[in-house]
Amino acid sequence: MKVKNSLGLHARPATMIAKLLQGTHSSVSFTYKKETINAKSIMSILVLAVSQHGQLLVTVDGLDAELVLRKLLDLFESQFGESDS
Amino acid sequence: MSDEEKRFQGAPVSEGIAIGKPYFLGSAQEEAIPEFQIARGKEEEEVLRYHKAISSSRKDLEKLQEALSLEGSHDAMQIIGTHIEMLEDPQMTADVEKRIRDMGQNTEMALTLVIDEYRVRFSRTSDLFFQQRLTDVLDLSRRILGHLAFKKRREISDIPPNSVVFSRELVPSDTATAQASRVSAFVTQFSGGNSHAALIARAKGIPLVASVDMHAIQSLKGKCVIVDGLTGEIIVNPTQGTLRKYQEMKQRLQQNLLLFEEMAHLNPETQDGFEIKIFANIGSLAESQYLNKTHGVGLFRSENLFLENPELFSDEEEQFRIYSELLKQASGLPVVVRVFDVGGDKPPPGIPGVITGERGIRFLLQNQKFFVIQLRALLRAAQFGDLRILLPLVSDVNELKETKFLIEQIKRECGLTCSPPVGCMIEVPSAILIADILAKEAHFFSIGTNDLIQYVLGVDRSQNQDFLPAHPSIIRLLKMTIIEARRHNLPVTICGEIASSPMFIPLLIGLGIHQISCALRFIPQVNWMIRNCTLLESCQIADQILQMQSPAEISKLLMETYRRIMPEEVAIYPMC
Repeated sequence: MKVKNSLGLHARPATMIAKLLQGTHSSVSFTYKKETINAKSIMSILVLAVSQHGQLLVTVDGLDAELVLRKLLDLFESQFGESDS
Repeated sequence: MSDEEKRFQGAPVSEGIAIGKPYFLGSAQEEAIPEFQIARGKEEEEVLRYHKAISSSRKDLEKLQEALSLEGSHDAMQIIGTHIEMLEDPQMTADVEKRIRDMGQNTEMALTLVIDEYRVRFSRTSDLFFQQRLTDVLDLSRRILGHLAFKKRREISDIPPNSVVFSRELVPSDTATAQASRVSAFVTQFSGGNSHAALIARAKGIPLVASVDMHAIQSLKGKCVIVDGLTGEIIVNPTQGTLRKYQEMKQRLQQNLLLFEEMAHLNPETQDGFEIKIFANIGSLAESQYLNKTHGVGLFRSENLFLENPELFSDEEEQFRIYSELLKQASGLPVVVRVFDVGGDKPPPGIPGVITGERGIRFLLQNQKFFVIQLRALLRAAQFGDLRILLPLVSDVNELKETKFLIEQIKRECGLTCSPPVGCMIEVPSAILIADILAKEAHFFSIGTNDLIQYVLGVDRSQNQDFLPAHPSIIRLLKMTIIEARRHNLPVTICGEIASSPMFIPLLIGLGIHQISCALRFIPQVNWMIRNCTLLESCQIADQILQMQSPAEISKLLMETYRRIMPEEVAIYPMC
């Protein structure tokens, strides 16, 4: 997945991601620059410091994997509601 | 920062003189992160401590968010929202838990190290924007540590010896865990005369002065401070002369106390041969070793047990062990155990399943599961001595009936045959107004004046309550209770603080009190006072006082009598 918003995956998008993943039945990880983290952890997402145009490898594994993946894609596409900035 | 002698006036709460080094509890200064090893098998408790700190932090943040939403600061709300999510970050939680479980690190250290790892990783990114997120993380960790440190900060046992402890306010567990050898005095901004913290300070003989401006004193950075618990004076950086004067006073006070102590083995009998029984108010097993100069335990404050160990609340075996030991220590003397008295300003133990909101016996009947545990432990221990069960804050005869019913039920279930007497605390006005009804169900009464004063006069526990015990209404209520108890042939003990004040002793005897219960340290002076008054004069004084109209008038007569009975050279501080 590609990060489109200009500020990258900072605290607010990270919060949105973590919130989206809460209560899902899949494990989700992000891999960026050879580092893989648990996408439910805001701290870990922040540590990745993904900037604009960064490419993430997203791995979703679980019962509702497809649904989760689609929701994640939507969220990334919407630029976390920051498209105007 | 001069070294000049500076004097401050506070409200005297607990008598005595202390000279020591100032120690500011919970000051704003950054404290070092505590590091200690978690004992094997205690890891899960430590993990729980972490989760508690997280949930407290979450509550803070939610409150903050609410306030922000009222202000309409949406950006700030979002940031706080992120903090809330970060708090429960599964990765962070897993890392901290792993350190606690695998390495036995304490929560503070485990969290600090995990945060440090994040710090290192954040600082590796070249993106300045992300580096700034570190402040959020650090802020958060400070918040969590704050909640962890709450317990640590309150750990009075770590204080260097001979300290005068300054704190904005005190909670009962502060004074309860304070050792007289380390804490020579307390100085607070709040915590007034009738707060439980004050009560415990008095029972332990630690001077306490309240209503003092902390900031003014802290800014002086004094090295030595004198606390006069009688006058409420605080002297920072005393001159050599002042220091000498107070050292002499302190010594004289100690000599007098020693003198009383030496005579305390004498039977507490008035000059005209009337015996008064003196019992001890205690709050721990340790104190039960000093019952030799008493007629037994008049009040065992069982709730003090879990101030240090909340788990005890639901631990029948440990309670059984403590009560058995207590009864054995008393070697046949009566032991009145007041069942857990919590609620109000004595918070119940923070263990799962406890319903809060009520106080005293109402709290216990509402939390019957825990009440039954305590009653069972007590009934099982009853075989080791003369146990009596006292119910706190009784206001309705049904509370007594329900408890007696529970006791019968437990006895049947466990096949026990003992029947310890069940009495009620007389400490709210309603109990006195229905004393005749209660007397039919109760085996004894125990008057607690501290709460009574509060509810009768409508004063706050933390307010300064000088002279209030001498209020005509309180004295009339005492009389009413005693008359009802007599009519039904019930023994009545007085265990409120009024009973530890030598000044009130003649009045109490005159009113018809034959049993007094007070903190161990007051027993020698109460004993001395009893041995130096007469029943005849006491009755005359009581009659006179019952006719009086104002607290000032009553106090004056009490003081005059006290001065007459106590020779000048042994007169110590009267309580009032």
